[in-house]
Amino acid sequence: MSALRMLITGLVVFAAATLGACKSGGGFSVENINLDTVVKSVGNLRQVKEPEEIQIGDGMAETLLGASPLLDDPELQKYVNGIGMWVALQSERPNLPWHFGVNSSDHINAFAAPGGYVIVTKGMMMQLRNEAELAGVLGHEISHVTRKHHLNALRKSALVNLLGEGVSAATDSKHAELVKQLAGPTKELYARGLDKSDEFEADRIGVVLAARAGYDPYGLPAVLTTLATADPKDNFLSLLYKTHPLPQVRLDKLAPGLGTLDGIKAPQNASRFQLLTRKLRVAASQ
Amino acid sequence: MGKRTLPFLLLVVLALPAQAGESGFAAKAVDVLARPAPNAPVVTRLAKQQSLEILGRNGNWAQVKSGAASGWVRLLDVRFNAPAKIAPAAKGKPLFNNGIRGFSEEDLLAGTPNRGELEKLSFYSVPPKDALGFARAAGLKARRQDYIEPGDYMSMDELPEDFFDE
Repeated sequence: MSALRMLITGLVVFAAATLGACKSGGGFSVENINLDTVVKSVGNLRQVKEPEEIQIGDGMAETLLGASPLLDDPELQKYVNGIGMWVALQSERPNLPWHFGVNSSDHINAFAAPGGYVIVTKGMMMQLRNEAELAGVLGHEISHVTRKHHLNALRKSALVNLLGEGVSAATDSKHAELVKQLAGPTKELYARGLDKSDEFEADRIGVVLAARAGYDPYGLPAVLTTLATADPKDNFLSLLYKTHPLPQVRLDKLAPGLGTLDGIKAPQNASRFQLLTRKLRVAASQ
Repeated sequence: MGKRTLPFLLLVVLALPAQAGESGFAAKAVDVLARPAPNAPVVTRLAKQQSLEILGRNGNWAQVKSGAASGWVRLLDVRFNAPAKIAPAAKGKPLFNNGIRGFSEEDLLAGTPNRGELEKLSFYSVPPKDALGFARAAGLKARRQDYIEPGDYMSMDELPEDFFDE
């Protein structure tokens, strides 16, 4: 069989298959492959542009803040934003509109949302001893944003139509519609958590961002050594434990990489941290 | 006492509990060294779970005291007891029964988006140039630091159950 003849045969077979698929109607099925699904998933794999990412994060942050409002302590909020922005400036995405907040929850946790949103619980703040530890926790969350962990998790999940069609929220009603559509997948994602590998990566990047910001890089490991002693059945840790690998496992994964940071002697800034968080401790002791 | 002295004293007093006298225990059997250096002479050996007092920290080293002996161990070999007690009254009981505000899975699922809080969040944000000033005021100096590679260490928890059977 000549090469030309092979090519023509191939084309004929292809055309027949395509026509057959069209004739079968609904769903464009070629035997077991549903082309609708393929087209949809290819659409989802396109890169989400930064303005869209920020709009999506905006909507997700609204949902997170709906579960627990911000703590009414402007001085502390500004302080956490100062540290957070300084740490974020050490990342690959210093120009995102970074927002940091402490919510009113007594649970121990911290969250990030695409586009530059980071929320730490009051309960987490009370477990920290100094600014280096806070910088480590914020660094971990910042890296979820810079590495687009949540955005990628959403692309893999049910939020496909929204991302495929492009997000536009120029008007209030469009924004409301976006937030409404995002609420379900957001809750599902934050209740389920990210892949373990994303959490390990965020730990590795978090310590480096804190080190670049001039802090003792052992802040985040120190937080993990504290969390490792807590009772895993504690209600206040339930969501953190459900959505993250155990602190001991995180320490084990992180430890081999920390060697390059061992020589660094850098401040922890305990006094400024203790001063700014004193109201939390006073309120808790009453 | 001058106007400036009081805040300074307050700072010192508040700083102390964070750095000294914290309690914890050894994460594994570990040598206590005379100095924060791997080759330093061994002062004593701690058993796994042996309780200790954390006197201070120096980078990746923690200065500890156990009984009469004191010295240095690697920070990752120490477990700190949590500095703030996790409200014991609420343990094992349903949330919201004693003024505790939560962020449990239930709270997350039950919440409705709050635009007002998002606007408040924007109000607190700090522009980059202020963050630079903020860092300078605290004596923080940016440094170059490469990202660290993922370790090939496998935690004991991750080993398959029949790993040691051979």
